[in-house]
Amino acid sequence: MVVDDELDICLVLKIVLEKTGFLVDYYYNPILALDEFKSSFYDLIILDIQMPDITGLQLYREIKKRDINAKICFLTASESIFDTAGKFSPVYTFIKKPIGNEELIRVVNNLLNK
Amino acid sequence: MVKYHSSTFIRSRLGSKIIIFAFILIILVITSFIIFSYYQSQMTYLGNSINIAGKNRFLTSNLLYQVSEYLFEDNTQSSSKIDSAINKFESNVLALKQGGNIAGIDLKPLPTEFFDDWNKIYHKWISLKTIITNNITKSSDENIGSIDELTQRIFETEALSLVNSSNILVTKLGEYVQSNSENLLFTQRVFIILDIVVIAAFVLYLTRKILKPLLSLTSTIYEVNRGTLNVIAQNKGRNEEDELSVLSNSFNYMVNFIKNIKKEDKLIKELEKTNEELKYKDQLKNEFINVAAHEMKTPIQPIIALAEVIQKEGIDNIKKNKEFLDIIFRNSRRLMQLSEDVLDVARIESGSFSLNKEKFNLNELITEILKDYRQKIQNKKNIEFLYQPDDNNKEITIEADRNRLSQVIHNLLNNAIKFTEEGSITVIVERRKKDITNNKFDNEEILVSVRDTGRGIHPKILPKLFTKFATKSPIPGTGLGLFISRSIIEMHDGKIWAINNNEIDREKCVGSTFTFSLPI
Repeated sequence: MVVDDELDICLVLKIVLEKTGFLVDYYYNPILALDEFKSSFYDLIILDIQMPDITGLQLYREIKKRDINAKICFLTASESIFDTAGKFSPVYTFIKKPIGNEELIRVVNNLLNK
Repeated sequence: MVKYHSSTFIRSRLGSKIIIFAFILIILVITSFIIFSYYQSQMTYLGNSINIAGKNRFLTSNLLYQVSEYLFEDNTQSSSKIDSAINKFESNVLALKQGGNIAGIDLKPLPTEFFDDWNKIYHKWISLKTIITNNITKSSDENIGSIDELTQRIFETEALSLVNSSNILVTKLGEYVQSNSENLLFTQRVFIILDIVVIAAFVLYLTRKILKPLLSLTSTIYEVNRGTLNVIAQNKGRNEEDELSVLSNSFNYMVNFIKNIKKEDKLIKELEKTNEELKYKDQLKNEFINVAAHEMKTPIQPIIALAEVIQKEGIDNIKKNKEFLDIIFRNSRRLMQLSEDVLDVARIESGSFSLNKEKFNLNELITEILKDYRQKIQNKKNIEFLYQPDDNNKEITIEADRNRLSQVIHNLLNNAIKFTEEGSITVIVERRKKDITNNKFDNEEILVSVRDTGRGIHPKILPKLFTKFATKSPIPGTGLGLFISRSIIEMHDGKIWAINNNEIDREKCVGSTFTFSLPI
């Protein structure tokens, strides 16, 4: 599941990931994403952090409330967040925008195999 | 994590212990029953033997009486009575030793320790019987038997002796029974003590092995409820498969799980705090650059990603997928627009933004621009583009930077389109006097307005509208345009502002109007 308020980002992530063999649902409305979230349905959830209305971090909390075992990683275009986030991995994974396709697939596979 | 195989009660460790205990107890009870009933039957049969042995005394005296009756009365009937008495005694005394059934009384064989006594009785009986049969019954048909005094004396003595022997046997049997019953009592007491011991051991076992660990676990749980998570339930089980082991291990696992959740929660809170701090810092430093950087990276991602896909899969494959090219084009355009805007802002800020003023026909410019838009909007949105030039002055010539002014008008029209679903967008031109008091020659101005029937402007956004820090609206690209437009207009000594239409005219409450003024 991909949640990002930019539609094109969602579309492109879907294209790239589906070419690798994953099935992708995307939402550019984070509140709709929360409403339609089905527990234990997604192997991985990718959340954009900077979104209007509800940030990725708040969304993370809400999803964890519905499914404690959900695997979630974050997307961010902010350099500073990405650098600071270093101290929170390995618990949380951050993907920096823009990211090359190969690296994206690598990160996704790593997360799914943990 | 201990894997708990679901097992039945019987195969479980504690369950098997309980079953063993119950088994031992049952064995004890059964054994005691067996022993008790053995003794009981023993004593019953001995009682019967005593009964018969006692009866023999009576039979002896009965025989004596019969004999004396016979001798005294001289009655032939008496001889048959004597016969039956003899038979009775005989069968009694034999049954006493061998066992059997006498008149409904069951007899068991006499215990061997009494054989001597019995032999004595039997010998005495034989001699008595001999005396009787020799002297009395032999001569029953013709002569009446007689018996001399000496024989009679012997006979009576023997009979008495017989009775004595019987007495002795009876007494001895009685003592035997008594000692048996004492044994029985003793055994009963032993078994009771055994039962008590077994039960006590069992209760102790339960207490130690089950109750205590459970109580300890319960107190650990109380600790957790009070808020302490640094607890570990002590494993009181003997090995991994013991139920108590499983319980303690599961408990610890659960506490650990809760701890992890709390830790994660704490981390996320920290992360959020960091995020907020960084946002705040960005605002303090130079939000413009950070927002611009963020905005630039957004269209780059789709372009790069799709370019890589095309590189991998070849252009022929992609031709089928028009969507790819659409995405690439619109994001490229977006990026280009953003770059130009950022450069413009940089020029404005650094002072190197210059205007090329020329004289041109405003009306012409506007008409041209609107023609372009009418064409582009055709199938996309149901919007009508209207032009309302000044009543008195259709053709207005102004001196300004044509390209930059065009940029401003494009910006206002683009915004209007973005925030209007359907309706109309009207460009209004008005020429008027700036203010009445000022009598200077150059106190006229041109007002150009773009009025739409769209969403209107949110009052929160209004004050920030023409700044670099306009909030990121749901539709991208409107961040810097108005700032640049304002700069351009102000460089022309003009002003630019925006209002919602419901302030102008109560009836027309939808949409907004952006207006700029240019002095002539």
